[in-house]
Amino acid sequence: MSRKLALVTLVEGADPDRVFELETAVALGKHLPGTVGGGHYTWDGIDDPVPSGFEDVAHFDLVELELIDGSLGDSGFTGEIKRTLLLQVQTDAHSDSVAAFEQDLMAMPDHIPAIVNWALSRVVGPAGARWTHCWEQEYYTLDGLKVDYMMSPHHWGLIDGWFDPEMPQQIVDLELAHVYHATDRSVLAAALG
Amino acid sequence: MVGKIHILDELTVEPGNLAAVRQLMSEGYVEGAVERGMTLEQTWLTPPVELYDQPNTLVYLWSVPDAATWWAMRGAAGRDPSVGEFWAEMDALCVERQRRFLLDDPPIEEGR
Repeated sequence: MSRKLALVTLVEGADPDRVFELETAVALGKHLPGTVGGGHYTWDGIDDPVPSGFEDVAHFDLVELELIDGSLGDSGFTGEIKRTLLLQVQTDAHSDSVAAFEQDLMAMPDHIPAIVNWALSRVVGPAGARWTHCWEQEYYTLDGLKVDYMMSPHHWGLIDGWFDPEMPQQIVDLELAHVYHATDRSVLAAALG
Repeated sequence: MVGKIHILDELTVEPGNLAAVRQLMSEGYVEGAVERGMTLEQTWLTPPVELYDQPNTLVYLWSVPDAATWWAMRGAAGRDPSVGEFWAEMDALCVERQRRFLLDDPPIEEGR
């Protein structure tokens, strides 16, 4: 079973009234400062490949996700941060390295208790999608992401080697979508439930 | 929060390439690394004499003062394509290369 999400980027000079219509028409998570490479909103649970009627307002970077694994530390999570990382493993990466990378990512919650709920998925569509993996987490606070997660030695001292162009084991492309937004519900509870 | 982080580069060098590796590191990396916040603490050669029929290992020990500086260093390297190009050139001179990160007093994890 798969699900979809989209990163939504407003077109330059988008009519504010049309943006307001978009924001009220669908459940968009507005990205917070510090987001990198992923536009203005995350749309979790998008059903249609291209939302009709909003082509003049925004670009929709849609991905279809197939779960590798995940865990709910709190199925009744009511906020406040959902984080999404979309990444591309290089096409020439060895399958053993990809498997080790996935295992390392999925070990992060064992070392970083601030990760409440998490899911790691492969991007299985649409054809031509530039991303290969989606790594999602939910946190009770923004500090859970910005301090506990980012500053953990497990993160910078081990995981980041897969991403770092200075490291021989790098297999992840430098272009990432690292986005996060406030939320009052758990996207992952629905996805993993 | 963690304190000083050490960065240990171990370059296993093809016989005959030792001088070229040292020169490349000196001229192609050190200045930029310092600009990105790294301090070169120490260099070593092991075995401590140049070999002509088997590899030597050059060891470079760097440091940054804390994790925030580590991320600033990492971000700057990621934004500069010449850094990746430097390591590709270096890897062509080496048999193997490793970079490790070290903490003197790592925090105790709560874990699960």
